[in-house]
Amino acid sequence: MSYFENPKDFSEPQIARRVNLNSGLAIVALLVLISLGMIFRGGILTATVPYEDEENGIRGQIPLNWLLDENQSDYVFRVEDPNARPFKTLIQVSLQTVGPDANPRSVVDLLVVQGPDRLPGYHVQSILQTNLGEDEAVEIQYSFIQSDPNPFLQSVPVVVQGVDLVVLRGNQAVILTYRDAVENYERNRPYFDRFLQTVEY
Amino acid sequence: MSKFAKTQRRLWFISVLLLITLGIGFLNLLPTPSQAQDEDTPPLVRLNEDNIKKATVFIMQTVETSGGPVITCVGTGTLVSADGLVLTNAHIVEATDNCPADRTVIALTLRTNEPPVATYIAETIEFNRGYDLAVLRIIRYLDGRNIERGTLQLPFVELGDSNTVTIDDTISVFGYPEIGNDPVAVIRGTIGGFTAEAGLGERAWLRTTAEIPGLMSGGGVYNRNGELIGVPTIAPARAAGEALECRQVYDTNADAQMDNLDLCIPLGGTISAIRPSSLARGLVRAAALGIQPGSEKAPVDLAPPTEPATFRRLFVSTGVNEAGMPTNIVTSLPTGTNSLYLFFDYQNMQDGQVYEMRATVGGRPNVLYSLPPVTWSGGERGMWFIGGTVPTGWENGVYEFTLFIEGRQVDSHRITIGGGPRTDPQFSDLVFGIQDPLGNLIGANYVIPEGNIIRARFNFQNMRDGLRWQQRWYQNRNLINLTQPAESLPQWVGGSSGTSSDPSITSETGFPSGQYRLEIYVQLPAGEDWCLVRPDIDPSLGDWCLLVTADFVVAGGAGGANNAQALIFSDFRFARDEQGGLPISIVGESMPAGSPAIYVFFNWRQVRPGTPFRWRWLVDNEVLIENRTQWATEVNGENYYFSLVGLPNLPDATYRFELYMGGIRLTDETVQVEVGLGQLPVEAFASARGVQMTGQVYDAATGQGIPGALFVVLLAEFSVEDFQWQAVQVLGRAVTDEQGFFQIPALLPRGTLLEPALYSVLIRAEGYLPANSDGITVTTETASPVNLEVRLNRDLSSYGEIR
Repeated sequence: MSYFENPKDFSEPQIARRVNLNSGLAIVALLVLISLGMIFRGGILTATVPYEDEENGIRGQIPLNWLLDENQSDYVFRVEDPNARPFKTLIQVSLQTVGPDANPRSVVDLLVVQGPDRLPGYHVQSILQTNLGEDEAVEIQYSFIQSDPNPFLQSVPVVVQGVDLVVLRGNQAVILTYRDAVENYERNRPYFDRFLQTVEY
Repeated sequence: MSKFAKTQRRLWFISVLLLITLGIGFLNLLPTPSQAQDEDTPPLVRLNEDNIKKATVFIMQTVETSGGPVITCVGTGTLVSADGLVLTNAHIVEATDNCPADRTVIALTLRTNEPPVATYIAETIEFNRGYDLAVLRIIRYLDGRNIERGTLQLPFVELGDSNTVTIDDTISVFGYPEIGNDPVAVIRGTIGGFTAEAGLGERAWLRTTAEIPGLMSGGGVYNRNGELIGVPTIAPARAAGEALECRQVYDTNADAQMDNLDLCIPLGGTISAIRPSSLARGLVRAAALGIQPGSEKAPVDLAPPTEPATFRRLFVSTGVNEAGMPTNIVTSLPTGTNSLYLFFDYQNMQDGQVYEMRATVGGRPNVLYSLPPVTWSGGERGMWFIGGTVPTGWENGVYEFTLFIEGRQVDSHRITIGGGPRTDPQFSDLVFGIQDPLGNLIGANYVIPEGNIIRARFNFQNMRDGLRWQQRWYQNRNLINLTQPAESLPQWVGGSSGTSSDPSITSETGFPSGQYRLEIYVQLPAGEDWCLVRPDIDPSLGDWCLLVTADFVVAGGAGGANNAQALIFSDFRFARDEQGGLPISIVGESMPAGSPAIYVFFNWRQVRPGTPFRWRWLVDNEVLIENRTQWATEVNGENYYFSLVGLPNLPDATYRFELYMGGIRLTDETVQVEVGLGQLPVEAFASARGVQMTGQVYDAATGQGIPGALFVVLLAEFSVEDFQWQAVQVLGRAVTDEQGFFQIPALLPRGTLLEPALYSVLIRAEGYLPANSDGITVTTETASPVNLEVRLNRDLSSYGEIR
């Protein structure tokens, strides 16, 4: 039976208390929902999906809802965070054919030589010997200037920091790349680290 | 209101707020016209002024000096494709003594209310001095970095159909009126008429009374739909090689002094002539397809004339025939005359010189009947005309036409329009042919095969029996029939009106190939003075009046029906290359796809050097490249060739080659070759067919632009729901600039009115709720660019760190 059917069964203070209680519960429920939503959203933002390119023999977990591009000649695939500003956080895998005497460092030398032609303001910061899983790797840290080629837009050039991780497999070098605006580089690096943990080549 | 009710209302309010916070946000995509328009008063011109301004560029010719590059000449141009094709005047980009240049700089209209900013380097890829039109392609940034073809996505305009323009149509002229200081100017006006010019037809020029500064030459003239219908054109007038109007701006010899040793940037006067877009279409299409004229066996290479250039034998005709010859010669004209053409002979002219015609009516200058300074393209010598048709009739009055070469007055002619029908003798429609065994004229035209007898035919009216008349035949400007005493010349016995085939000339040895002319005179009766044209007649022979004249060519051998046709060119063959003037890899009716060049070879007979002719290449039946020139090699020979080259390869299409002489086409439809599939790919002109998408993404709460937002346009076959974040589903994407503006770097293909193309877009920006929209319609009617405004709501739940 409700208050509206038999109002005289409830005194006004009782009604007010009950309504307040109900409303309070509703607000608490909403707050719980919001919290759950944020946790769920956080899960979505850090979620990954499997990526596999059988032809090139590359497999790994890539961030969910990043824009996947695998139709270019100079890389196997590339994913970009569509939300990121001012530079679209990028993870990329490319392959380079090498000779039997090549080592990761010789590939890095080639990347350093080609860098200024591909990336304006290209500047190498460091070259480190490292490992990817059990494989020997060389990591090259660099920066460059990203500017919009459209002269009609008032874009301020963005200083981008990048890393190329080079490992060899047979007669190919696998180059794993991460790039982000210098101010977001460390914050978003975990995306790349998670990819490195799952990548198979 | 009870406390309970208040509490309940407050709680409802809080709940609603929370629900809104949890909500998925909302998107506002507002397609807006690029130009704000007052709703109460319809705009004078319905065109996208903002886009046209951005498509208008400032062109600077520069030359390297010891002090660095300096600007030597300037003008305006218009972007006619997204990937950087610029249409402008040929004289603006041609390096000359007055305008030395080793680089062409393109300055863009980055902000429509600001002066242009030098941004790119361009090269000339199509050039037609006769049209005074050129097409440039942007190839490099100013710092020297190359630009990969097809990667630019610049604002551009589409060419309209200048043949549909009518008198009193409203036009808008866009261009840069000053050197560097001012933003793009827009001048409104109307079409006041059309001017005919030799070789270019009745609409060689569109005319306007709008006062357009000379530096806007090379810019754009637009109709109400915002389509480019012409290029305002004026060549800087010069005298003794120096520009009459110029600005000394730069220390061009780097001697730290400004004096007359420094180059002066030439300006034009006031523009009133517009080169129609119909003459630009072929050049622009050839540039878009990457097709250029290649080498030729013997291109004309005339040494500069040593004698001063002259115009002489001025007269007026009311018509022009298909060979560009006057249909008659008039000494006065009745009221209501619609057409009038000023003919004149020219000699010692040089292509690229500036000439001008000033007209007065009753002593008052008339802009529309005048021709402002324009570049010459008729070669060294011949017969030329300027004129036009006025549908409502030329106004009554005494007209005086004065001709100038490089600012120097050379001759003038006066004629009166008004009064009743003419009663003086009139001859018209002079044609030529050979004579059949019965003495009749056959094969009437202006190209005659070699033979012993040439016969002419003309119409006459108002003639009087008994008037003496004479025919004067010229070969290469030399009189070849004997001058007779006046009293021995024939008297007219043909009656008042009719057709005469009496004029003829005979040669025992035959007439060699070359250029010929016939003039027919009538002797003025004593006491009459209706004639205005009495050139080159010895006064002792009496007072003679020129009534009709025409030039013709003798070339080739007799053939065809009744042996009346001139067979000049034969044995056409297509080849993939040439070596030492001989064809290499001759092909039949087709060539494989990806061919870098086409050569057309042919043999010729009896063509005298100096004979004017015209050649052109058609691609899928559309004229792309055309040129008027002169024969410049032996009289007879084999394997003359023209060629066409592709940059880098010729696109699949059917290529036809045509030769004209005296207005007569001397090739047939079989002189064509198919490359690849034999027709242009559908997407051949895609760069000019799509729609650009631009806009701004801004914060819904503050109205501030959001920099760095991603704007994605999906291919038409995908909706937002279908999108799997795969780049193959994306037509184009762009990141917003500091003000939130973006431009999609790909054109959106148009649908049709019945089947519109529907596009979906997604917008993403960190800290904002995502926004999506389906159903953005693009049809053949959609104006480019489509401008979108996107309001994004802040994502209150977003947090900075993502792990």
